[in-house]
Amino acid sequence: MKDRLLAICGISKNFGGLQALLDVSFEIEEGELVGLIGPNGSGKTTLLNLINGYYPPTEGQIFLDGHRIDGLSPNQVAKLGVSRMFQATRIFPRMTVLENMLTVAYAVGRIPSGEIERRAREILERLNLERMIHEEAGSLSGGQRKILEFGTCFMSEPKLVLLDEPFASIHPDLKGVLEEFMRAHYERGGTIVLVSHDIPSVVAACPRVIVLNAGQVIADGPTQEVIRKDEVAEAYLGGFAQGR
Amino acid sequence: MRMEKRKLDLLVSVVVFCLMALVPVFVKSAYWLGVLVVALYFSLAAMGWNLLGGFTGQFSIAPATFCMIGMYTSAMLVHYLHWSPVAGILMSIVATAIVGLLLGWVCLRLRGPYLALTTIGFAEIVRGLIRFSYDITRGDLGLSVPKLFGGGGHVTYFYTFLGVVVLVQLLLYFLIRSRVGLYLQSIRDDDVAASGRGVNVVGWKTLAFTLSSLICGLSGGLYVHFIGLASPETGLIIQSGLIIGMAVIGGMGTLTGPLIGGLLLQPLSELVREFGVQHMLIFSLLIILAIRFWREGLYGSFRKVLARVS
Amino acid sequence: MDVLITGIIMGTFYALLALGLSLIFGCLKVVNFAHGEFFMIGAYVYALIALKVGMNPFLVLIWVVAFGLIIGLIVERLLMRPLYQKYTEWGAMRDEYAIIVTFGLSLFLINLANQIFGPYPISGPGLMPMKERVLLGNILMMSSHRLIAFCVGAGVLIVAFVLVRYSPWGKIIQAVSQNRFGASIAGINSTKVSSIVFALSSALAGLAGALLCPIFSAEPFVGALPAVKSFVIVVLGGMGSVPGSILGAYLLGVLEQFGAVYISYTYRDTFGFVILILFLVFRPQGLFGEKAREV
Repeated sequence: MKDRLLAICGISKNFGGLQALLDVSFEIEEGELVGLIGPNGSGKTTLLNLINGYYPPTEGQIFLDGHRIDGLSPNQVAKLGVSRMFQATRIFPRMTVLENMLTVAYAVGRIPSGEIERRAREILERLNLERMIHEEAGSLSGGQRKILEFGTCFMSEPKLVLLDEPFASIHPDLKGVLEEFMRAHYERGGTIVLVSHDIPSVVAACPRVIVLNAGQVIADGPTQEVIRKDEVAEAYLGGFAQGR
Repeated sequence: MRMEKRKLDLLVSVVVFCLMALVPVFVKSAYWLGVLVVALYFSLAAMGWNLLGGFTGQFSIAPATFCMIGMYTSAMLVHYLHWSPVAGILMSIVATAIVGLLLGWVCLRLRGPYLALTTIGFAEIVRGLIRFSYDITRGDLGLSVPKLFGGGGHVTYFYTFLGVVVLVQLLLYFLIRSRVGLYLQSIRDDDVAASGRGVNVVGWKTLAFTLSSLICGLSGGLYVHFIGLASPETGLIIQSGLIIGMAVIGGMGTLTGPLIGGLLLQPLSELVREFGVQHMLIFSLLIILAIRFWREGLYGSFRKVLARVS
Repeated sequence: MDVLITGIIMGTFYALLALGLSLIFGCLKVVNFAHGEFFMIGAYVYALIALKVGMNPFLVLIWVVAFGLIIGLIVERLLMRPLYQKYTEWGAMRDEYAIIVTFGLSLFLINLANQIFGPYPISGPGLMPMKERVLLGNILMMSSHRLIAFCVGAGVLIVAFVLVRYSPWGKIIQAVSQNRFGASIAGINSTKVSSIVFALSSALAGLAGALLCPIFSAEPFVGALPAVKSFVIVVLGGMGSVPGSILGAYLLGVLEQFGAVYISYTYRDTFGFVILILFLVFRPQGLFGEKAREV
């Protein structure tokens, strides 16, 4: 169990009476692109926060590459090669686009300093943000900020990329840019966990999908099989699925 | 051509320093030179605060408290143990660094108004301790100390203070330009995201507190041996307000803002005082106007205009 | 025993101050550093109108409240709007803006008072002639005006509390405090509510200032210490929690008196700060507040 890239073992999280996650377990191998879906409030973001280390689990352990990471602080987890994109876009508004990219690379330190600026420019170019490189990130539009945040996730050879709703409130054209980038990273052997409400995108992109409902895993397997399951339809649609 | 922000800041600072260096050639009045020395004291303190507030986003309302701690550290060492003022000042740096470290530790998980309130509490507790420990500190009467240069004229003090300001400015320039500058600003902008992106928020915040406090302590140590008296009035919240005001009006989050803020506002307030108008009144009005309509401050606006023109 | 009663009396005045601050924090999510100056303005209005116009002190209180409301409205309109209207621009800097602008306002008002009225205290008349002393049961003797001030203060406090908790207006205020965006979707004009809350807070602070004017006098710095105490209380009770602030106010009032008498008179004001820091570090949500979740 422990030599997979990411192993979630019996994770439970309780927020003073609110049980956000209950006995969640799964493993992700290197090079997988896994979708994580579930209705609102099912615990997806909480799970990501736990992996990142924003708070410790109430029960259970998390292993990255065989090392236990639950209980580490977010910056320590990031240094081990986990990058995260937040549901509500988080960038550094008073720093330039370039500085946003540089900060994570220097902080995580997984690529040599000489390489950092070159790589930042390269990524920004692929994401069509190159001309904004010296602009303050706060002056970017909402969609551009999301793309910038997306870009920062790939700055430092991440072992595991956690994407939380990357396609939300984005223009369809820009969405294509992100999907393309994501696919390219996957094809080069990167590991990605994709949290999204955009079921068509998840289904199209991810070979495997995990479904959460009310803090528990109700399905985990090849996408085509999982989405046909009754429990999944019921979780999303309530009782409506019965009538289909 | 787009000149990098920080290089521009440094360039302007250098220009300011050159101008300042020439001042004693034209200004002979000991009074006005003294005013400029005080201005340099405030500029230094403002630069210290700006590192913590403007660059790292930690709004401490206690810079004057650290100036005061610096003053009393040196004052008491010189007065009771007969250390030399220079040694006293060096010790001020150490003492304020330690206290700053502790305060930073206390404030680690605090943000915004909670942080501000804690620092206000801290400021008043320290001030209370100094005022009421009459036996050691002479309380409100103040503790008199020898001056740094004995009978030296204000010109000597002027160049000394100027020299220290130049050094600190250079230090800050290299710091902010380095990756540490990136980390501090990322903490200001979004410390949750910064942490998730690998920045050791705890460590860098602590550093910012420590460094900021010791800069204020240094300015306090120097100041006490200029005016010859250590007084708890230096640590009044209003004094912190002055320091913060200078940084804000000059331009928070820029390297040159606090320098300009102090150098302009202190002499200005002296001028205004001559006309009988309360300088603090105008000053506080300026603070409000600056933050309300014009948050980049004097220098920040100048920089923006320059960017638009080029 | 009379220490306890003095504590309760002072607690009532503190509660008036803290209530306003708590409401502002709940609705606008900012700490108003100029709160003490609203107290000061109330003291000045009371002293000046009572002395110059010679009106019945009780009637002057009405003027104090009116003045407080107006000042609160003006300040909110001019200085607080950017906090929530230009949200995108200030989003990253809300806290900074609020701290500096209210701090600047505080300095400005203090110096304005100093400029206009000079630094010397102006003593306002008591609500009833000060000389009369009243014997309460067999326990306590105190000046009648302090007693009356206490009654007025307690009365206002009860009314305010009931209004905020149970009236439709109060419910609206609570809605905005808990979820500004949601409230506006539900059709509530959040901006208007913020104005009203600010105005109310200023009026309550001013009233406290007026009631305490016979004791503390009106002078530029009179608001500084009460302000800090109200910060302590609001943190103690839990930022944004109305019952918490009121409870905290009484707690502080009583603790201070006991501290002053039994521990140290000199450091009596310092206790508040120590309590403040202890709470901020170890229990920032106070006794009743909510813990803020960040991610």
